[in-house]
Amino acid sequence: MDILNGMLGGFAVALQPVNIMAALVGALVGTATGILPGLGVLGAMAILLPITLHFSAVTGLIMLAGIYYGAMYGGSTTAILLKIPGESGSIVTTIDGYEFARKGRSGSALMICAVGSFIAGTVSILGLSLFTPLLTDVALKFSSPEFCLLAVLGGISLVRITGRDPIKNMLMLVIGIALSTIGVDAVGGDTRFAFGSESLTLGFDLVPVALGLYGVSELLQVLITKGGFPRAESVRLRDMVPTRAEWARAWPAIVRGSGIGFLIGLLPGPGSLTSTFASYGVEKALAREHKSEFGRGAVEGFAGPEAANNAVSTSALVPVLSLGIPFTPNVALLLGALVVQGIQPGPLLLSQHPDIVWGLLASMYIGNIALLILNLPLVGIWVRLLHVPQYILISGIFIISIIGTYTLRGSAWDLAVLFGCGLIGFLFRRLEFDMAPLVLGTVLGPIFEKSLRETLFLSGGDLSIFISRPISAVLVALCGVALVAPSLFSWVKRRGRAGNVARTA
Amino acid sequence: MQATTRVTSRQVRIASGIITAIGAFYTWQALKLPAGDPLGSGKGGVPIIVGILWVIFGALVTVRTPKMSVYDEEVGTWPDAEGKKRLVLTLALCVGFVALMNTLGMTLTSFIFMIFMARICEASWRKAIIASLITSICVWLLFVHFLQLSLPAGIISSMLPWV
Repeated sequence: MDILNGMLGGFAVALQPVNIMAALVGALVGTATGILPGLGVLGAMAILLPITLHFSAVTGLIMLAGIYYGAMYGGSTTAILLKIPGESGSIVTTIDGYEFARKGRSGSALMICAVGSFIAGTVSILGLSLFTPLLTDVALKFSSPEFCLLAVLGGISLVRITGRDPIKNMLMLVIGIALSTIGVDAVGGDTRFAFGSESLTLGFDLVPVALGLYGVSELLQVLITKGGFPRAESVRLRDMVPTRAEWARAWPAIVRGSGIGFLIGLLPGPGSLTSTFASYGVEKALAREHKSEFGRGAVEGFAGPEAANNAVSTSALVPVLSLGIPFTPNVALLLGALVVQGIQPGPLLLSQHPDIVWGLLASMYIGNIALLILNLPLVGIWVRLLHVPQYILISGIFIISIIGTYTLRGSAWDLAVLFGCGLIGFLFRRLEFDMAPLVLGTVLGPIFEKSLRETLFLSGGDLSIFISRPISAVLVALCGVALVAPSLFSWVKRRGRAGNVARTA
Repeated sequence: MQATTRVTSRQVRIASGIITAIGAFYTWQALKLPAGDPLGSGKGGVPIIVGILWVIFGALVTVRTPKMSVYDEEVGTWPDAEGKKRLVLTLALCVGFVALMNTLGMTLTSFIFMIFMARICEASWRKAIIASLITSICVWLLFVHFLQLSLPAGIISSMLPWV
């Protein structure tokens, strides 16, 4: 009943004209930026984050969330039409989605993805509405040791699962946390590492750091690439209706993908990529008649993963809204936006700011419907967006990033950080350092520091507090699993392969 | 198409070495902060832990032989001469933006920035000026008119007081 009341209250907030507009604008702008292959979801969110902060907390968050799922949605369009994943969650879609489009069925593929994304998004929002209050009840039993361990778990999971090199990832995570310690100490209010400089006292704000590392560095990359943004053929609306046979194959995959995506989104780690590969694997394993089509344009091969990708992006909000801990850089930006707005995320968020949580959830229903209704007829326009001259797109996006960052604190220092991080992101990417752990580190850093220092005060410096409390003991065990499991899996895989080789020899 | 050069293991090692050295400096500064009582609860506690981890992982990346696993347009290769030129020009434009924005005002600086940005993207002068003018007006409408934000007006305020 509480959930129903909460949801009704949420709709009262989300249906205010300004919030409907925020959801619509966010979803459309997100789709547009998701379609531009140079910009990933994080880049799109980072570029528009400063603008959202000039609205009220709930309106800004609704807009930012709209950009988030809109960009997820837009990413699949370029994956299908150009074989270019707009973001990591669309990598799997490029395999079968693009091959399917090459058979002259690109419109149908877009429609299946759009409907799949809508179903997955709706299922996931329902789950999010149910799980967030439940997990919040559990989270109210959490104290500083648990939050400290959750931050560690979030960091370790991302480091161990993404990228190819966990040591480089760990280095990036640690640098991110270190950046968050520069400036005013969030616990005591003293300054650290400022060397008497007013600029360093301001510290490294999340917005210029994330926007530099993702937005500006991606723009620099597009700028130095001779061809600029790639081009796609237009798609006609009448070509978008899938055949009955295509639907029959798509919907079970969409349902399975939604379930897989929702569950994986609840776990720490980069759910987007994991869930799409998991869904692809499941579809391939379950396929009987069409197994040989996988890799050559199987409907299930992109319908399932695309649904999983959209479900995961919503369910990843559960830990943020109930615990105040982000497990992926995308939702870390959402959390960062809350903090910049002066709202303390955590288990008390739901009771102290029900309008924000329920308003956000209700707006996601509206945003999802809007995406479906608006984006299908607009697909021709979206594709034409890729025909806008590169010089207009690049200079326009650049200037919005610069002014958006400047308006946050009116500080030239933030612009210096923005450009510096842009160059660092550009260079680091070439050297194969992943930026995601660094961004997550800057958000997790203050949570980790505050909770660790409180824990040490609480226990008088006795670290056994981390294993003497039942919930924290479980979290310590989970951290251990997150640390060891990937190595264990690859060791078992290697042994299995070595065994097979030995047997065939 | 000019040839791009691949990132070598030595270059990765030099970069990690620099990162580690910055980490060592950070740790040295962190050690000057009070670690607190109980140990680690002071404002230096977390920086010391983080600094030590920074140095350890930085040294690990530096010492082992790092091998690039991918070589594509972004990862594992350096931009060609044309790309480098565009990069340097863009960064110079960024520095120029920060240097001029208070004097010229945000709108005028943005206009000039976008003209040169479009020129870097090989647009003709005419196209660059028209596009920049339209974008500047849109940006001004968005930030100043719609979001009601005050941006540095600079000399433009004496010429066009209503801006």
